[in-house]
Amino acid sequence: MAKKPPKEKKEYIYDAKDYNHRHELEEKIRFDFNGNFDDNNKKAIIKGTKKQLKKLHLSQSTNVYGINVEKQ
Amino acid sequence: MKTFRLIKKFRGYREKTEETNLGPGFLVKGSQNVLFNDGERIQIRKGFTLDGDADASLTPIESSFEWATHRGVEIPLRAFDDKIQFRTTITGSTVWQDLLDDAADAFTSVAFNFTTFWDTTEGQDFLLFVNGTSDLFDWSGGIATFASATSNTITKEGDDTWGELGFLLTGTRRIIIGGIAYAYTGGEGTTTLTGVTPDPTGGGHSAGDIAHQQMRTNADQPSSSFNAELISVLNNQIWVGNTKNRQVFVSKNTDFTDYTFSSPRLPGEGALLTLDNAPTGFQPLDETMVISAGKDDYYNSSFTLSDDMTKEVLEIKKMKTAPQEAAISQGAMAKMKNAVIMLTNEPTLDSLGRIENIDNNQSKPLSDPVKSLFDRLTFTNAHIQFFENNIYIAVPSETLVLVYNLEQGFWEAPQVLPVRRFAIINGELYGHSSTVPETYKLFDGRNDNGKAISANARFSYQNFGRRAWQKSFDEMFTEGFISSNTELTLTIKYDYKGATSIQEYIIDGEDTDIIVNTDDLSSLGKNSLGKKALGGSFDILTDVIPPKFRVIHTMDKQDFYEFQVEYSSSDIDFNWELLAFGPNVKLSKSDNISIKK
Repeated sequence: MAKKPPKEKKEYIYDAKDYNHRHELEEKIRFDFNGNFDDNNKKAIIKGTKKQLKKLHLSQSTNVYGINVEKQ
Repeated sequence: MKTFRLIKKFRGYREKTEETNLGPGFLVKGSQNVLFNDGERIQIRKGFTLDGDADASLTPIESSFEWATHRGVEIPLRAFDDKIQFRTTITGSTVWQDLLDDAADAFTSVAFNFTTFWDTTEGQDFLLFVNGTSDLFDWSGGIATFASATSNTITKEGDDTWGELGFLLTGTRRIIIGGIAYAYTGGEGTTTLTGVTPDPTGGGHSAGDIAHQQMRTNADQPSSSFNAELISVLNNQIWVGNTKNRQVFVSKNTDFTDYTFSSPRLPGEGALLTLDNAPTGFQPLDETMVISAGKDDYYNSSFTLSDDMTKEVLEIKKMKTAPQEAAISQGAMAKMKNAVIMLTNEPTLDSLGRIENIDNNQSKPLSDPVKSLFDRLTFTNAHIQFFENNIYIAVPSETLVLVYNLEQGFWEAPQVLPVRRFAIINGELYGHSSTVPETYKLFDGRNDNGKAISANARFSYQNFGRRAWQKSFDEMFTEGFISSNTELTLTIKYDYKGATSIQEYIIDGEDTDIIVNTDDLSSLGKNSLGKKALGGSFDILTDVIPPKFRVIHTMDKQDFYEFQVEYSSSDIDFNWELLAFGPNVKLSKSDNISIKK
């Protein structure tokens, strides 16, 4: 049986509970990536419970500047 | 041979211009319950009849909706007191049935707004409704009749399956029979539901009882901190607003409980918009959502796809409007062919749409000829409905209905009707009561649910082009139609408000001397096929046209500067129409020395 490839380690993890408003999260991401989302977004993930994500108008089917959302 | 100066062209109702300066043929203040009909005659309006059961409780119907389901079944709904009812004729008679089961909590508010949504999972449309709480309600509209039950099954009457009639296929689902809610787990593809709890045999249900799907409550939609009060749909995306919150939520086009979106936004995703004022109403127009906000503002939505078609921007564009031009409420906005019509805060009736070659939506006032009427009325809880080329405005606080005749381009005289909400049911106009939980079929029958119709056709003053000269006449000609049971009163007021004299004459429908024919003109075969107008003015050809009359009333000559004519009646089942009237007027031989100084 082939070995599973090692899980990619995320460099940036954004926890939804740390943000009260969507624009705060977007500002933080823009700052971290300095406007370059083409490659670096693979290094990041947004995490949170359904309720925390809903507060930021996010769900697993959405993304912020290409960064995927994961429900915990 | 005497020459009569006849008025035979009627030109609608005016309440703005001075009554003594209007041309002939206008109806003026004091007129009520008369309408201009297809025959271009003035007629007493028809009455209204009760739809469903009578109910004397003093709880007006506050909100309503007519849901044209994808199944082709129309489901009208009405809400009053603490309940919603839907209308069904599935049992063979008209029934307004409670939507909630007996054990459910009553609604805290029945000021509902409704819209519809296509659910791809269920493969059917849903009715969505909100009432100013953080709950969003949905209902699949399943209605059937009970046939029989076992301890854990319920069988319906007829061959259609439960699913074909709109009953839910997935999730926690219940049906209600006789006020009792029963959960079920299967059998939607057949005529027998299975896994039914509690045991339905204990409910005492009889064959033919109405069984309907229970509505569902979606808590905290679109947000736990947002009270959903306004709701509409555009391209299967739900727009939710609140009259005290500037934010507007837009749902995903595949899920009315998902208001999330990416950055940048993807096509079909939800959105969150922030206006400069709290919204008062939504109305889809063309490819945009028109949003009325605050006292002054209108917004148009705009969807723009990116060049690579992978992103979509949803913007709102504020339109150029004047102060007080926003719609007063959701009920005061309606669709009218190529435009949105709305009652504004001024108050005026405006249309908003593209006119001539101007690409942007333009506001156009319609109520100017009756400005004084609009200024004196209170439009609280008003409702607008476009129906067969007429715009109807219910003014419940005044017990009035105003009618704008688009075909003729004029206002009809005010109609005294106790209506708070309009409904179009099976292509007919209905009115939900402004005082009791009753619904009426409007313009049906010859009395107001057993009560008399007080009708007045009061015309503008006439001076025959000689304002400063005295005139007189000794004969007054009237031609029209009158049923044999009707007494029509002709009132002539000599000079302003009858300052010189007021005379009354009776036109008796039983007077065979003045009746031209006694045939029933509505008998089968008397009207050629194709004569009935498609929309437009009020329908007369499907109704009994009463016998024709012409009469000349004689009187002593009285000098006057201006005079006013009024035709009136007030009793049950009266029926009359006016075709022409006028006096044999001549200039008086008297000099007008009495006003010379």
